[in-house]
Amino acid sequence: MGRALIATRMGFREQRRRGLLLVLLVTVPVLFITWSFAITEPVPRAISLPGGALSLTDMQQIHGAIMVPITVGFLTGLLGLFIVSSALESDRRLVVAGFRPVEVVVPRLLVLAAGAILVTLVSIGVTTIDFTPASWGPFVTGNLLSALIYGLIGGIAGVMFGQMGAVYFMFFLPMMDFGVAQNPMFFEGTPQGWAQLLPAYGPTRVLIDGAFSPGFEATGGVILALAWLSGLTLVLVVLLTRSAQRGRHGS
Amino acid sequence: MSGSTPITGYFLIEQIRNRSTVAMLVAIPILFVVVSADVLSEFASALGGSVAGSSAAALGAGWAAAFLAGALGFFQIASSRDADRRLALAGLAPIRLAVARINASLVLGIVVSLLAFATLWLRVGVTHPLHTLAAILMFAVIYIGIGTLVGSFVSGPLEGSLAVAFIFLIDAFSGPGMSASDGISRLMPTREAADLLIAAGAGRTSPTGDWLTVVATAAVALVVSSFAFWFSARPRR
Repeated sequence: MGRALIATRMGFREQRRRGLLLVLLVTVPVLFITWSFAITEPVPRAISLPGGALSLTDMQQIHGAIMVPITVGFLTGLLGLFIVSSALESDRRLVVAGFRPVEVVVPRLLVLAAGAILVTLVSIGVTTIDFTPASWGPFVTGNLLSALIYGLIGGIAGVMFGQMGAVYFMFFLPMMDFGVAQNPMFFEGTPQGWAQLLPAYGPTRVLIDGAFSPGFEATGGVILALAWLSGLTLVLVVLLTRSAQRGRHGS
Repeated sequence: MSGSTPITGYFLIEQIRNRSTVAMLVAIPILFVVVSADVLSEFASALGGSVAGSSAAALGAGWAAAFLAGALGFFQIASSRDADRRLALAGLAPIRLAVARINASLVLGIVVSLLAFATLWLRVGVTHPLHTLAAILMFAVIYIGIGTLVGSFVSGPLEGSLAVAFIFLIDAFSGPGMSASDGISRLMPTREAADLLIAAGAGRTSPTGDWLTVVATAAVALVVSSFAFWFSARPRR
């Protein structure tokens, strides 16, 4: 336990040293989200909410609301990718030095979760300048789930594709998933059938419900998002444990 | 600069050794163009822009080439910074090194642009193939310059990737066709290339002066980035 705490503290210290990263994690949400509100026309738009109700809103409000998960998905995806891929080698050495795999894997997940929470809070804070969701709980929950899910996807991509392939993947996937497939600005306000197969479907339905409805009808979205979160956590833990054990077995 | 050619080949092999990277470079432009073709007109109209139909789809092909080329340019430099300094210390002229690195990115940028162009052709049809391909290539070249420039000054891969993505998103969403073309959009690096691509997508030709402006922008991007790379890779004793 003591060694896991040390590894966690070192993981946080490593991130704190990266001044430019912290600046970007704050400025990117501020600029992206504020600017999205500024450039979008308030064209009227009806969108479908979880539970089947229709809500009449406008493109500016939708763009502002959907820019939060686009931003957090994009940022935490890259964050997860680099937290994991930059630590693979050092974690193997720690295992050779006597750490158990769990003592190096858990700290990485904690740093990743902390990064996801930070980015989500900054992004939601910025959004409140121009937009007030109808219901805060689902809006915050949906965005936090988006951040955690994409942080894990970034980590998995970092292990599976190598740093460069994973960067291309994480430039592309959040943009397509949140920005196109789940975005109520397109497809007449309702995600198409294929969008339900993507990881952002559940959390986006939750946050869209929170953004535009005072009630809560997105239980299915929460369950789906939690299923993705559990499955992805399991996959990443298995991949990181295997990678760390390679240090122990010397292969 | 012919001495840079064999080194370019080595740098190229270094980039494509990882099969996942190659798979992404092939799959992403295709998927991006296919998916974005349906939605860009609607997105542009929400932003107050006017681009629609084939022009919007063509713009998506330019963007696909741009963001991959930006990342290519950045990683070509950032992932090999230490090795390049050692090569420079061992006697390889930094300018040859810069040319070889940028050439390797250009080769991959051309491949990505061709894939985006072919997908566009198959997906929506292309009235002016040469104009369209040339405009997509200009997106890629300009972003290789931007990626290289960022890579010359930002060493962290996460920070650099974010910086390239940040420039790309601001550029793409405030460029011509996507918003009312005034204010900050006039300063965007791919503004003229986007005008050419939108015109080619709509089946219109563009004046020679516009093409010269885009070629000059791409040339400036490459020259500035080569200089920046030379500056960062030069031996310091």
